[in-house]
Amino acid sequence: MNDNFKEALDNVYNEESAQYLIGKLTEFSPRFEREMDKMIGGKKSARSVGKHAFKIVLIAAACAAVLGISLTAGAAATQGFTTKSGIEKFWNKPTVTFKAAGAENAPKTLEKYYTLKGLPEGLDYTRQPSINDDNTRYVVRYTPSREDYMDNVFMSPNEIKFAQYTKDEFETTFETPKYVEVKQIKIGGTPGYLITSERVFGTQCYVIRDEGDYILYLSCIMPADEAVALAENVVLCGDPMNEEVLR
Amino acid sequence: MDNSEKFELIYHKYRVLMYRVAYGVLNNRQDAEDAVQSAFVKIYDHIADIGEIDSPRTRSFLMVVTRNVCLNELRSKRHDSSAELDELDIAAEESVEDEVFSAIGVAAIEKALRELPEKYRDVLYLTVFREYDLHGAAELLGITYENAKSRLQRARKKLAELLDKEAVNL
Repeated sequence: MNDNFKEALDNVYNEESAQYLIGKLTEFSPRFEREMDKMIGGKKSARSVGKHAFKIVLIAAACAAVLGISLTAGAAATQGFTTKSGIEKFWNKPTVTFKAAGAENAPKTLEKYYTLKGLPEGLDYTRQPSINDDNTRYVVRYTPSREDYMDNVFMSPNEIKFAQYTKDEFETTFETPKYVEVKQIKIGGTPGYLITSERVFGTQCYVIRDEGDYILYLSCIMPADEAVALAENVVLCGDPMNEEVLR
Repeated sequence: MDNSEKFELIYHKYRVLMYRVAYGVLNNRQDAEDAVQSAFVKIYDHIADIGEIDSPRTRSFLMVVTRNVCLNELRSKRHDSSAELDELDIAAEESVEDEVFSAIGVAAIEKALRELPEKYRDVLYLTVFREYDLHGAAELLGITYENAKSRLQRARKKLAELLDKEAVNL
């Protein structure tokens, strides 16, 4: 085909697709996010083999992951948490579920509240707190300004989630294919876990920590050592719903 | 970078754009999300065909794939196969000669291309610009080889008519 024709075709499609760069639709449903995460995680697990061997590899990855993180099947009390390994049914991914140990003796509602101090510099965060009706879960999302979020969405979502749970309330499950690392650590002298996975846009970190009365939880994308430092840097706050962003 | 990493990069860079494309066709968020998921499954199978990620050409390619997933979805909801079958009685292949393009110039060709129905234009785009063979284009568009062939023939015929008209206007 003639070069003029190719150029025209290219121009028409570039122009047409560019119109979709701007628009109001930016948010996906949690269901979509979950299913696409599974798809992407699955593709990464199967990266060295053809797509038809996908399921077999996931099963192998599940076994390796379970061995790799030294978790035995069945429940076992480990520092401030009990852990239970399992297999996610749909994609056959290994999982580990964390529950707080010693929940029976811990407060049943939140009577004091922590907040993060020492958020990374350079971003203008909006603090979005929420407390559930039973006062057993307190979650703060630190979201960079929308413009910044859009600029950085490709490389780093930058959002930070900090949560505090009563021990009764706390239960969380992580998928643990072979690219996810689970480590027992001490955070500010208290028992916890660091769960990391290397993603294209950085290191996805989850830090969970038994504070004594409550469980503290942090989710962010940043180097693991910085995530742990951030998780250590918590302070009690006065009014959790109206606290300012603390640097 | 392996295919999985490439796929993840593409996903994060283009999912919103693909969502908007899908919503533009389906006008329903849930359906649009489902279509984007289906489009990504298709894209993974063709990941090797995608070169530079941060490129308008990649963006266009993803738009074409997404749009056709949506159009197929709409068609399946309408149980509408007749429109496709009608296309099978196209006569012998007609093509637009290279010299026509040379004589008319890019702007006029663009104008004619914009008047082509999307389903015809997309086959042209995939076969001419992306250099897929008809089997590959048919697979990407979710249609049969015969339908892809007839769409291509119709695209060429229609384009020839449009360009002829354009030549007269010039």
